[in-house]
Amino acid sequence: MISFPALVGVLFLCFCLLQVVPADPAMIIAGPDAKAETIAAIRLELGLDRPIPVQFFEYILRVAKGDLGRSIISNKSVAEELAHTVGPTVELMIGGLLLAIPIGITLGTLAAVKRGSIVDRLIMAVSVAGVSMPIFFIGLLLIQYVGFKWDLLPFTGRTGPVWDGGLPSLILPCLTLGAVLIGPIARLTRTAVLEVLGADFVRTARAKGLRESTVVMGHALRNALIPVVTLIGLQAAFLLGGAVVTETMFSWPGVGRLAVGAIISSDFPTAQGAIMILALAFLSINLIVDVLYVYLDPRMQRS
Amino acid sequence: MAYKKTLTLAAGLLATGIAGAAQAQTLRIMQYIDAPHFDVQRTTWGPGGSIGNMTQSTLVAMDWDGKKALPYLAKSWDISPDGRTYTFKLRDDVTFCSGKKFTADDVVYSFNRLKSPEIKGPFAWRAGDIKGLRAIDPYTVAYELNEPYSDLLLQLTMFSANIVNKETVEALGKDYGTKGIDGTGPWCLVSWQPRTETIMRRNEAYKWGPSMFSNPGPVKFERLSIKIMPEDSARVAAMLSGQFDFTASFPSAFIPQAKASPILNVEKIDSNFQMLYYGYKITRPMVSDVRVREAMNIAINRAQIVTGVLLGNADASVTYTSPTSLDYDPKTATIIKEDVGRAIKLLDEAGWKLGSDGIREKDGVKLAPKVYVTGGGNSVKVGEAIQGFLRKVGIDWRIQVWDSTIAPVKMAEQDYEIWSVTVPYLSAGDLMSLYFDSTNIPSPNRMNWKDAETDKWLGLAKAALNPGDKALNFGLVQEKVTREHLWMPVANINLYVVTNKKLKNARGHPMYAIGFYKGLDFTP
Repeated sequence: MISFPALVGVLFLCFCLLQVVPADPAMIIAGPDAKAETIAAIRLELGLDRPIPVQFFEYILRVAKGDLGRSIISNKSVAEELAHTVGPTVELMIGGLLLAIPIGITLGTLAAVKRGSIVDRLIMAVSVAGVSMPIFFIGLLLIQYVGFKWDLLPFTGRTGPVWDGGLPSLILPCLTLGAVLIGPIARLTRTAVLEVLGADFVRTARAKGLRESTVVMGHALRNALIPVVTLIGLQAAFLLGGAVVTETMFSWPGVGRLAVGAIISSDFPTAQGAIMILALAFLSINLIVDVLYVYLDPRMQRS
Repeated sequence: MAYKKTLTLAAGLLATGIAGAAQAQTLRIMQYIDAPHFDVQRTTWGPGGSIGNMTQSTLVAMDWDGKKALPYLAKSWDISPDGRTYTFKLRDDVTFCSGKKFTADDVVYSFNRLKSPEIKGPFAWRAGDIKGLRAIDPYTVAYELNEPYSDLLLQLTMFSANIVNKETVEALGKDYGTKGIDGTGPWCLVSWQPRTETIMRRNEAYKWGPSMFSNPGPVKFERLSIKIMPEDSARVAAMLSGQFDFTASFPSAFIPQAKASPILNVEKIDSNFQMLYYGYKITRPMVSDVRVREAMNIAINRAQIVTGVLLGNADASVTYTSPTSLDYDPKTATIIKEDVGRAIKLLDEAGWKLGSDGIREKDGVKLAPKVYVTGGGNSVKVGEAIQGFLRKVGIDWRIQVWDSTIAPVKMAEQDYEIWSVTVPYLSAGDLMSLYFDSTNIPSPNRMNWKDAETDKWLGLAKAALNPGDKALNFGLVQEKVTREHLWMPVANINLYVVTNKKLKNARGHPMYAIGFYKGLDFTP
């Protein structure tokens, strides 16, 4: 329930911020050498001469009716623009998570089980490197080596949906996006599993003669996952920010690139639409995380 | 089982072969930015203009030298003795991609639309002060002007003068240029995925290419794909790995790598006209004295800036226009002579004395002009180099970098002594008329240069009925504004087109720094 006011709040803040920035889309449309009367005529036509509260109120009314307006730069319908970009971003996010979560949890668990060994140290070193490296640097490395020098995977944009031959073009962007998540997940999983491995119920499980793999996977890991899921939830939402960079690097036609392009060109309706979608995604991810808590720890439901 | 495996393998090989053949027939172009729409009459942006030139045609075409207008949709023309009426004889064998026959009505409609208040065409001025257009017969158009316009033919080569199909424009309404376009160009639009890819197909009927091409049409590729790649390093890697055939968006810092590549050709377009300059707002006291402006203009070392900052990807310039541009006045080449000693003398004469901090001052005011530049371009790093040179003579440029989103607004406020822009232009006359005409104050005449003599010469040049008079008067303007040191010209920025060696007969075109023009001779 709290999501709705949060969404309106986000929209209002974005609207105000876009207005505060001293950018004038009419000047951008008219070009650097346009005459003053041309700029004034364009401002009038776009309705940019009206008071800001009026513009915002009208915008909210339109959104409530499902009309996100038209881009003031291209004149395209914003809803249509978003419809084309949401799919690729969702693809990228899911792909990134699908790569990062199993790899991160596996590495973290392995490091915990092999605590103090060379494997543990190696995994932690890789995790620290992953956490420390900015996303664009990881992307550059992947483009330079995996894409260009070794010619293993495409890096020049989306070639289509996953089910229609687009899978190879998805791998490098997903690896880039997922790489920033692997480190934190692995580190937290290691800590959480180590903590649980010393608990009484684990000792009981071992005393019952269960195999070590069953003890770790069946008993320790499930209980260790609660903080990991919290982290994944938080990080997944922040992945939206990473998606903006990844989409630009890999020419990926997603919402992030749309938002950046719209903000650069002061295309207010498109920027608002893209930000609304990103805010919705953020809120949805948080909701999913809340539901997952309850599944993993039924005590949460009772509390 | 073995039979099945063989069959599968054969099918796979066949499919690969078919895909390979299809790819060979697709011309693969890469750009760093996409067009917001394809309505050429509503844009000043090169990417939109580029698509316009592919899918549409103009009455006249710009030759490779960037100076000459060649017959295109108009096969010939007459100019009335008073220079006010151009009568164009049109080709009668031209059709739009939709199959509709091209006639004089389309020409009349296109220019009426360009000049209409609803469109607010930002480049409408390029078409001259139109009195009216008349279709004398289906293949003859009278183009009437209120006053003569000697640069008209050259201006009509611009993308804003492309001919549109009235039926498509009216049918699509506000969606024209985003959901469809129809033109008489060598390519027809198939699909557009904004910020991702534009696909075109060959216009099979096209056979009216201008004489600058050896192939009048149709183009030799079946399809054309334009992919958008915003990231510099990804564009470099993509070209070096042979994933594209043509780009005019290769990052200039990596041109040496492209030249060293065994699979790429690099062509520098000599007649590309793109000037990086810093302009003085002469109504501001700090730069109102011509001696101060001249001192700044001669205290810098352009050759070092070009080598060290622009990595050799530009030609140092002491003139406002390129020596290869139409109506360039060679006399201007000797006006700005770099000489630090003379710069110091001029500043002393102007009353700006060195202060204790090494910066000059007069009447308690430091010689520290505010310089506005747009972030992301060459103006910032070149400005910083100039700042270094000028500090040696006691001038402290205070550079203010504005993000490209807000730069237009800040530039319009004109709260600066100096600003910088890199401007593409068609000819010396084009640049002079746009920037130094007093009717264009405050923008684009940001110098606020108001001079009766300049206005008179510009008027005479525009109204000239022969090329000699035009060049003479535009030359006088160039001389005067150069002697007044209204700009600090720094460099002509180079335009490179990078092509895959598999692509034969590829050639870059100088128009408005776009690079690609029709592609009629491009051969797989």
